[in-house]
Amino acid sequence: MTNGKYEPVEILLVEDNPHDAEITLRALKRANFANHVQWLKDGEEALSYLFSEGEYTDQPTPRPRVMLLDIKMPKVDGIEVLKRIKADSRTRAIPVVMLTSSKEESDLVRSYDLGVNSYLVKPVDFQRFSEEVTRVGYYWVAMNQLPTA
Amino acid sequence: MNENARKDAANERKTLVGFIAAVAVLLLVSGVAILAVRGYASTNRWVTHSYEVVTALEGLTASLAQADAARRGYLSSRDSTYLKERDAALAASDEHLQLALQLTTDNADQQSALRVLQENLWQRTKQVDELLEMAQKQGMADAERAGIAEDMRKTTIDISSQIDRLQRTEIELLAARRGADEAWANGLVAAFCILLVTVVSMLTWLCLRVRAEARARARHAEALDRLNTNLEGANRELESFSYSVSHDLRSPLRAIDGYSLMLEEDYGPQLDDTARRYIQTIRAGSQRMAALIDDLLTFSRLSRQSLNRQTVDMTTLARRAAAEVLENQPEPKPAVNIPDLPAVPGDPALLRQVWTNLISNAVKYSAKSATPEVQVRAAAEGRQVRFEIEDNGVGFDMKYADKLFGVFQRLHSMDEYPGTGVGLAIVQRIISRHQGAVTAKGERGKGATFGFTLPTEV
Repeated sequence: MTNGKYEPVEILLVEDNPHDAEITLRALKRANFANHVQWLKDGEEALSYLFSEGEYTDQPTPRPRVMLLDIKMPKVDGIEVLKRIKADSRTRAIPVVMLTSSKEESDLVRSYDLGVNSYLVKPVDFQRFSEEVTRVGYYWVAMNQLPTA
Repeated sequence: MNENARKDAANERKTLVGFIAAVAVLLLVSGVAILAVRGYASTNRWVTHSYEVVTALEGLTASLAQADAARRGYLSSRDSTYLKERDAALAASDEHLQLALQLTTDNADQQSALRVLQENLWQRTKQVDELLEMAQKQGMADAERAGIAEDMRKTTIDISSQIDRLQRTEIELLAARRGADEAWANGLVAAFCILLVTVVSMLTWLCLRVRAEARARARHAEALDRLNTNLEGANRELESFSYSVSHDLRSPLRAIDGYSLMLEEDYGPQLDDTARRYIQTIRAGSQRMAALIDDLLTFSRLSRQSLNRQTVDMTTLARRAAAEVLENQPEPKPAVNIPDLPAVPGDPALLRQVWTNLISNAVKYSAKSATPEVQVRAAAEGRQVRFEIEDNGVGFDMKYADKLFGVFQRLHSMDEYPGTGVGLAIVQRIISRHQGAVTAKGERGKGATFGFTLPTEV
């Protein structure tokens, strides 16, 4: 979905399920964020992207305004990604919003322990989901202030 | 488990009885020991007593001999100091006799023998006095002739044989007492030994029992540990199962709902009404299934989640739940009356869920009445409080009352009243976890009253 040559990436979506990703991207597109979104298909790719490793070696270190992170993913799961991001001074300031299917108390506790910025449970109802994603996008991209690099 | 508990209790009782018996036997041993010591002391007293009697009698013999010697001295020398000596010796003999009488007050035979002896002594003293008088007036030869001396000798022999007899009697008595005492002491020693052996064997038995019990307990604890470990494993499995259910079942549902909507949005104009209705049905179905999954997960978590017990302000809880329910309720909203309710111990989050479910049920099923009304009540019932939520809604047939609290049990069609059929099952699970009970009363078309009790003490 990135036309990202000229547009800086503002929203990072880490989601392994392509349907969920498409639904989320559709909602974001409607809210006119489409050109600022980068979709990464799992935790491993997210880490490579954030730390400019592997296929992303040549790109400059990204500074997204928000990262939407799914928890249940193959290989490296969302909790692990969160842990790595919050443990590294280069990425610690990136706001992380957990966007997951289940409201599992243990996941909530661990996420907040690791310093998550927000935690959302995806509703099944697409309209409600769409509204929530739009709100999240507006809040973190347009309203929230981040320290200048 | 129950069988084991009963066995444990029986074993404990046996051990206790054994312990009490051992203590009783020990007390008996102590009693026997005290008796033995006292018996020994009394034997000693009797021995001393007998020696005292014998000594008194010996003293008496000695004094009498002294008096006789003084008398003979006087008769041969006519020196009056011998007379004084004799008086003193007689007085001493009397003292000895009195002492013997005193010592033998417990023995009538000896008393009478001593009395006879006393008579004889008096008689002899009188004879001696007569002899002395005659010897003073007429000389010794006449006195001899008068036969007084002869009488005197006879009395003297009587007296000494009487004293002898008395002494012998006393010594025999002493020997008899000693014999009896020895038998008593032997008996005591035997009893003492038997009791000691009993105590020792009882204590040994108790020791073995206690050890066996400790081992049995260790075995039970081990079995319990194993069971707990298994349970924990099962619990973990269940946990990961419900995690998967909540995550993996919801994802495809979101795809069904999302893509149906996308279809409608992007291709709506090309579809006819029937196709659009199909899409609506697909979406309603997926959303309903999502609600079911959520409720089922809530329900299954209720069994595993531990209770966070504290004093719960039921008034605030019920009023907040009612406000929340009414907020989402279209007009006309029923009147929900909640008086001040007693506080009870419990988990506030779970009890909040109870109020929400029961009030939303009452509101839902009374909303179509002419003047919908929901009344909450509370009353103390011994050691528990009964809470009731009454509505004037559609009610239900009492023959279905037992079905109300089952999972997925519904008495109305989805079209009439939406719902998953898990709400009352959740209420029942929460209340039973609080050691309370749920009740339902109702009549078709005349409203329903749902109640639950909660113990006031935990």
